[in-house]
Amino acid sequence: MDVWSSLMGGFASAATPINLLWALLGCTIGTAVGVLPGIGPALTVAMLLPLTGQVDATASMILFSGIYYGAMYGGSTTSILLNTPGETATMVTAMEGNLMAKNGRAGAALATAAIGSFVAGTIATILLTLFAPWLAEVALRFGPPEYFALMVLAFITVSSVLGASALRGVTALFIGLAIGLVGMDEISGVARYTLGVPELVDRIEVTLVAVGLFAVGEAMFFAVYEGRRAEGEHKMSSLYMTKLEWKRSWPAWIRGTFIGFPFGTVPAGGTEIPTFLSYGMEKKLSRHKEEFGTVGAIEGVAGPEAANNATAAGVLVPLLTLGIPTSTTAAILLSAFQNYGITTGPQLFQSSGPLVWALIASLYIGNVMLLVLNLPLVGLWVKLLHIPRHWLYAGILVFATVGVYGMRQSAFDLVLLYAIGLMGLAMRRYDFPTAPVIVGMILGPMAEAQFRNAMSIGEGHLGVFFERPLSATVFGICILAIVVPRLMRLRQRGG
Amino acid sequence: MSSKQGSPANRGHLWIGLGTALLGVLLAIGASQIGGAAGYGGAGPAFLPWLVSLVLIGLGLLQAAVALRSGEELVEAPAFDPRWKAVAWVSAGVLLNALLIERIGFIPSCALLFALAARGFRLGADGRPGLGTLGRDFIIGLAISAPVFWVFTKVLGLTLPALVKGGWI
Repeated sequence: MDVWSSLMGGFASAATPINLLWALLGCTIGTAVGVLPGIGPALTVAMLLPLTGQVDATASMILFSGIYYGAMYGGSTTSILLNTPGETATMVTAMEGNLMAKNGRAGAALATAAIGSFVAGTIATILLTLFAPWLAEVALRFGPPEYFALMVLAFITVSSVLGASALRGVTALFIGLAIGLVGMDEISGVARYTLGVPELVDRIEVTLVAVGLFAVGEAMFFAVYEGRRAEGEHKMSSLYMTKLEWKRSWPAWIRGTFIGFPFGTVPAGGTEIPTFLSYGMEKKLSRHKEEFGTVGAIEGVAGPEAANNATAAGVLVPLLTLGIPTSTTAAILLSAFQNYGITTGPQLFQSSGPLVWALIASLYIGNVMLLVLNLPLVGLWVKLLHIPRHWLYAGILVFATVGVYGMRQSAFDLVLLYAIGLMGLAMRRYDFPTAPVIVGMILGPMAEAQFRNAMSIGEGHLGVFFERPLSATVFGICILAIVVPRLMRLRQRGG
Repeated sequence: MSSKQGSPANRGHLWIGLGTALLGVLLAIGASQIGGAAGYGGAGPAFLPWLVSLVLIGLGLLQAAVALRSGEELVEAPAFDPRWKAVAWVSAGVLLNALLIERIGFIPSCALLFALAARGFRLGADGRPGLGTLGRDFIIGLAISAPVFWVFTKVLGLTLPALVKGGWI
């Protein structure tokens, strides 16, 4: 299939007035959500999942990816102006960006972040355009053992690479798996863990768990512990980058893009690594090293910002071609696809080609829209931050109700939401990561199905996973993923 | 910091560990009740439940052991001490909303949620909200819930409970 003509077809579909409106809506909501603390793209998409029942697939996927990209852009604004990064992805931006803002160069920081994000987003989307169909071809050779192996790799990386404690990460993962078990087993039709409650036969909704952990849990944590935290704020300066600043920024953008994209495609589970890597690289290569950590070096904002946007695009590669989500937002996007009965994976390009290309085309359009939304309208977004937090969080709870009740019209779900919110509060307090719960819950049933299919192929012998070269390779990578970080830590301590 | 076994700083992790193990036991009991043939491949519907429950028991006990053995805090305590009254009000808002939403409809119920939750958040910030503030927050809650309700039900076609079935309230 000719990539170029498919892409043009995608543009034709994405550039219809209705779809352009959806893209604009998505980018706007995404930016707002990225700016505001307490909500993230994963939560927002989860809250809007009920829309998948009413709106057609192309429109809602355009909306959701607009939100996804938009949140990356919006998050940088909060990182630079307040010292409270909205997303972990923008944590690194906060480091240098905030220093620049303190020294009166907030405008330059915001400009380099926005333009860098645009450059990175566009390049990364081009890479996605070229890379994804090719990978889909390769993936056609994957069978159940390979898919199972990939999912195990995703489980390992999401639970043990992120966060301080692998024990807590793996515990969170298994809790997610347990939640995913509730309901009717698809292969045998047996009801599991339903406790005689009819609502549970239909499985627990992703929206419910995501909103419970992120919205309700976060809100309760805020109520208990964070209400007294004062928020500092920095003055906006003019959005102007000097020629020298441009000169320093653009190589950082390119480097950041090429660091970020591969990390998004791999189930390395997170945007912390590429952004920190980019920061480290910029610091090493910079001719203005003395600015890092003092007045704020512009490369330290340009590189990581490009990296995190490129990662966001990179995440779409395994999601679309393999059906493997490598981030929480991707997991929720996967759930959205499932609601339409679309299975992502190598067949996606063949069975729903027009949808995918329209989606990719709208990413390009979205990048342009976001640049326009973010640069001139920064002042407006900053005003959003003046909403008093007691109203902000109360409003989040109202939206949470819409999202959860809108899925299944069940008040029982709202009680369940509260219970999960309590769990989220405990997890936040005791540092249990929440991403593994979501990934476990969404990928768990899929992994189980692949495992049981693989076992049928292998006639009950586990050897089926190791006799096939592709799947054995992936399991080899799994072992490396467990062993290598530990070895590196031991070396650091010993050396 | 006490030096006796199981410093108070890690009590939270200890309870979480024990709770996880207990959850694992409950899941194991559930797994033993799952019927269904193992089928051709030998991995039936009970396979994953057993795996998950046994692993959770193991992880829970491990977490409890780590909590007991570790002399110092595993996780830094938050910068501020807890305000439990705050979360009580937020909880009241969420639970009352769950109870009432189908009886009085989305708009009034969420306005109540908004007002009670906002009161909780204000208390968490060590504010002193009075009854008047509660009333004002309720009005703001109505002002937010109503457009949200109209947009989501009329424009986007979701089903949300209304006081007057299918109507504007």
